[in-house]
Amino acid sequence: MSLPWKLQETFSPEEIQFIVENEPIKIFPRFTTKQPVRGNQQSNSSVQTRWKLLTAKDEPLNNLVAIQTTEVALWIALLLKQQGKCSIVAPGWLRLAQLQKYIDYELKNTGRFSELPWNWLVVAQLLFSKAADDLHDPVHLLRGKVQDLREIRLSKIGQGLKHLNESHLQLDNLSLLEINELRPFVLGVMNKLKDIHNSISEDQEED
Amino acid sequence: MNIDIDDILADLDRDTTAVDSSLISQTHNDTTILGSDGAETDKLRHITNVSPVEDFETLITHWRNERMSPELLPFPHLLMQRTLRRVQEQVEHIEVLSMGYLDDTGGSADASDSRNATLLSKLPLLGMEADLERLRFVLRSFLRCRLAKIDKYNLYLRQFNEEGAAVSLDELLSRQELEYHERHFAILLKLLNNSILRHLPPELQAVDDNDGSVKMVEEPEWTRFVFVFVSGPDPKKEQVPDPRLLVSETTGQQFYPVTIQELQEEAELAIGGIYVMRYNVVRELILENKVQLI
Amino acid sequence: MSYYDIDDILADATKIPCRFNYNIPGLGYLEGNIGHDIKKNAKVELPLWLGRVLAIVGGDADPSSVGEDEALSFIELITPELLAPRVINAIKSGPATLDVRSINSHFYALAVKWATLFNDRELVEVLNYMLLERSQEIRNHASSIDLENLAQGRDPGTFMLTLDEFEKVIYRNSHESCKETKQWMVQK
Repeated sequence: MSLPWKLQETFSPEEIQFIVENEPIKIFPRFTTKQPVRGNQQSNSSVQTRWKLLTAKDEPLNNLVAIQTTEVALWIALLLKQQGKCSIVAPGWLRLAQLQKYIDYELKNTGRFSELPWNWLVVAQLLFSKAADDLHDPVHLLRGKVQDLREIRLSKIGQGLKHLNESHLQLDNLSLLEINELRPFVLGVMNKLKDIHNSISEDQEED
Repeated sequence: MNIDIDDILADLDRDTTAVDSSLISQTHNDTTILGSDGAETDKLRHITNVSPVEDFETLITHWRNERMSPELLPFPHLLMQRTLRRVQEQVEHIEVLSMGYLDDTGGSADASDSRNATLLSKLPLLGMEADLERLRFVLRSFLRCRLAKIDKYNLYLRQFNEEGAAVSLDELLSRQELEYHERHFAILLKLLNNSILRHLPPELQAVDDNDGSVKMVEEPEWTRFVFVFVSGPDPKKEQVPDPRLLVSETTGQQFYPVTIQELQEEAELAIGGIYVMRYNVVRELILENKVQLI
Repeated sequence: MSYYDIDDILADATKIPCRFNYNIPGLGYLEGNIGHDIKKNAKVELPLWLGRVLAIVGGDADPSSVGEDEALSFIELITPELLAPRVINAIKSGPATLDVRSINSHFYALAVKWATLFNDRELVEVLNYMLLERSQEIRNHASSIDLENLAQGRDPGTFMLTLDEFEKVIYRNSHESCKETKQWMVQK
């Protein structure tokens, strides 16, 4: 089979990660690639190889100045981080206090999800494992909060799924990974509800 | 993911071209053929200005839509042409760059300073190789997904042109896919004939009889539910406001009105919203890129 | 549902009780009397795919009779055990704990076919309720790791044995999806 059956109606978590890794994030580079404007060639003993990319912007990478923030694709940030060449600026929502606010919101509003970014779960997990020293708070505490947040949202989703129907559903503010996890269940049940209701719909007009 | 520069260099010695190289040379041919047509050349010249990153974003959207849609979507001919050409060029570019490194890795050794300098100078190469791999992954997955659907809808696609479809089969498929489809169909039919059909009475030999209570030819499940994100028109590409967009009187939010035909029900797709909808309800908006499958 | 859908084929092969409205020569083999006729009012179990056709096609296909009293179809379909009032009541009173598989392994598929044949709105409502209630239970099982189940003394195996074929697919796919997501979370 050209595509494994498992992937024919959904994405794998790794593919979701891949999609999220294309999103921009801020970094502090630890090195400079920007060429001095009127620099004489001798000052650069070795001529730097220029970045030339197909899937992400390469200008920022050819104009890095050490300790000046710049924005690059997440996968590049993680690659540089792995080589010890940058630190990553953790997004503002990835702090204990901020996560607690989201948790409070989730608990208070049973019918809505808090407006976390669509990639929050993946970004959090990636930074926990690959850039723990760049986070504002101790990683084990952050992990705990993210886990709490995930579980609260999952149980809220469970409540919401009692209202599955044969027509349609609005699920604003769910993140991509959460959607992907739910996908087989939600679509499977809704497709069956549709079949059940289709069995009489054709005669409806005659009634 | 552990990336080692030596692995990458070793990799370049092997042929890692996952994308069929004949595909690439074929696209070069396409270019020359198209080049003979005046209007097409202009179109092509105009579009070649699209930046690689923009193209990659479009490719990702195509890939995600294709993966989640029940039907086979039209092949993005020009986008794929540009992308495959860039892959080819980048492979050559990286090869040239890495040859330079192979030359000077022997000499300078211990001093941590020089090791650091080597790492820094190799970083772009490291990044470019990873970048190329990422693009190749999407291309591979996209083409594989399409092949799986071409297999699945083999008979349906055979009848495609007869059904009065808006797109012709050779626009829906790439030239290579068209050929694959033709040959796959021939092999399948031969297998069915040799193993079963020829032992049956002639009136029971049909594999495409759609007159019974259940059609023999499997069609895409048009009403299957899908997850969608409503992006609205791309502000970069469309200056004119979308006439189909309405503004909600209660919330002031912009939305697309849609009709769920089977239920004779109206629904609103608010911009920025995430919905579970029947595919046929959002199909047009998907083809116009106002809504994406997620 | 596609032409080659095995579950649909199996569902269609389920035997349904039918009553004949005519004496039909030579059909006795349907009730085991080879070489004999089938008598009017004889009760015979026929697979749904056959019963459906015979219940729709009239015994009097003579075009001259159009407009007269409605011709009786060859057979009358009798409500099968799996949709008997007893079962419907059991669904209404406690769908979540019901052993659907013991009723029929293709319960939903059959019930939908039945609802289509008789345009049975009430049955559709019952199925809708049943599916929603049971799917909560399926989701709970699918999203909890097996260890958690064992700790609470629940055996995932017995639960699985109460699901019909469609429910099993939902369970399996949901479970797979939750497991993969969890594994990804742990690895990161």
